[in-house]
Amino acid sequence: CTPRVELAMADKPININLNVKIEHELYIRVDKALDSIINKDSGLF
Amino acid sequence: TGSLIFDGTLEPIQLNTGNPITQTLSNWPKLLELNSGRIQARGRFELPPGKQVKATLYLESQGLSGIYDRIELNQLNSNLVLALQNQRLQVDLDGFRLEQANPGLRFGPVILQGQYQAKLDQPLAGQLDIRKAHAEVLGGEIWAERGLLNLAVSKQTQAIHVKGLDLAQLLLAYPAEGLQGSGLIDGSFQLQLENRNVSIEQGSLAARNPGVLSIKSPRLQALGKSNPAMQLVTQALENFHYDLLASDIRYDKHGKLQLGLRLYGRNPSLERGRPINFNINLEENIPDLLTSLQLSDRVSETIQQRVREQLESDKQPTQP
Amino acid sequence: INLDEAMSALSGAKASGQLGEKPDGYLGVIKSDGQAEAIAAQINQARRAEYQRLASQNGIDISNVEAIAGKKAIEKTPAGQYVQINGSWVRK
Repeated sequence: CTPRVELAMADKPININLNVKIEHELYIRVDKALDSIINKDSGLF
Repeated sequence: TGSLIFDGTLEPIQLNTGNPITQTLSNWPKLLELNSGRIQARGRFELPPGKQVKATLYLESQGLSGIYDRIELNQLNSNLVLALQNQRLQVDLDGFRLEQANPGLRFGPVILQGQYQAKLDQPLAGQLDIRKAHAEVLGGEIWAERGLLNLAVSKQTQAIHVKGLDLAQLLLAYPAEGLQGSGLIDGSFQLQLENRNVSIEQGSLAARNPGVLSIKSPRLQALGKSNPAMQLVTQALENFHYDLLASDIRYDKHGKLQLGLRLYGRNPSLERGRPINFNINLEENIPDLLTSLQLSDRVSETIQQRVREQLESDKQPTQP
Repeated sequence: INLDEAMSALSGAKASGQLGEKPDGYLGVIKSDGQAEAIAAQINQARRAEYQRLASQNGIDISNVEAIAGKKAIEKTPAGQYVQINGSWVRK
């Protein structure tokens, strides 16, 4: 997401518009990745 | 010619190991597991001569704990009176107090009080009088405005108020690294109920006073290095002293939450504290958020097991 | 012993109750006879590398990966083998 940034005079406020979409598969991804490690053929478990 | 009265008391059911009720009631909701507490039922059945039958059921629970679907329930004390008379059903709930609920985020106590009336032939199309629906969450409270919901029509609206949510606790509970902040959040929104779907069309939240927000996540920093404009954003947000933190709220029935955030303030050590006004459209998926909360160790093993099974079954059909 | 030897000896050591899974995602030594210690050291080192890779890939703290891994390893431990619950070894 590339924000639009207007840089103006020193004390004038900088306006920054952002679009942020939060992806939540973080824990789900880690959980799935661990599934592939934590099994017999990984040799580590 | 007195009326025929029958008073019955069900032996209090002690739930410490299994739940004996599930064996008896076939349509016990399969996702409801109760593992401790007591349920007591008392019935009264009257047949006044020449009049309609009148039946009343008193149902009481003490210290009930267990899991419903993916929500951990701890210490539910409630009593409920269900009365049938001349083709009308009336349910009075006056002592409902659930100490703690945990669908991924712990909150409670939850207190409900209300009355429901309906015609016997249309039990689900009645009038719900909400006298009290209040819960403590994240150091603050959330409650439904008193009101009458007419479940006969397809769409209902219910005003909800929020007061004193602690931003510090919210950011701690949020499953992401490097989020810290201070501030108390107040606000209100209109909850729309349409055939069991929940949505929010308008609502607003705002921090009561100025405060601080700090976001130090490795991923954001990495983003900052690759893009100068983003560099300014990540540096500003590392220690952002806000004067204004306000947002409108929209939530659709598919679980998408959209916040139109205004975050105005400065980072004292950036450009000599020059004011920076962020306008952020933040999109979050609440079901995914809850799933990721439930997968981390914030909830019981049983719920995590259900979540994984659910994720497995979700994957099956779309598997190429 | 090297990692390959440790990996091939692992299931035997677990089955004989020398090693068991801990909630932090690493192997614990229950009876330190034979090469139990050496096996655990090699395996845990390899696991830490995997956890660190996952943690940095997803920008989260390694302790989160270890916590999820620990829960999973204990869950997947077959009956008859040992897991550590609240600090004590329990045979599943």
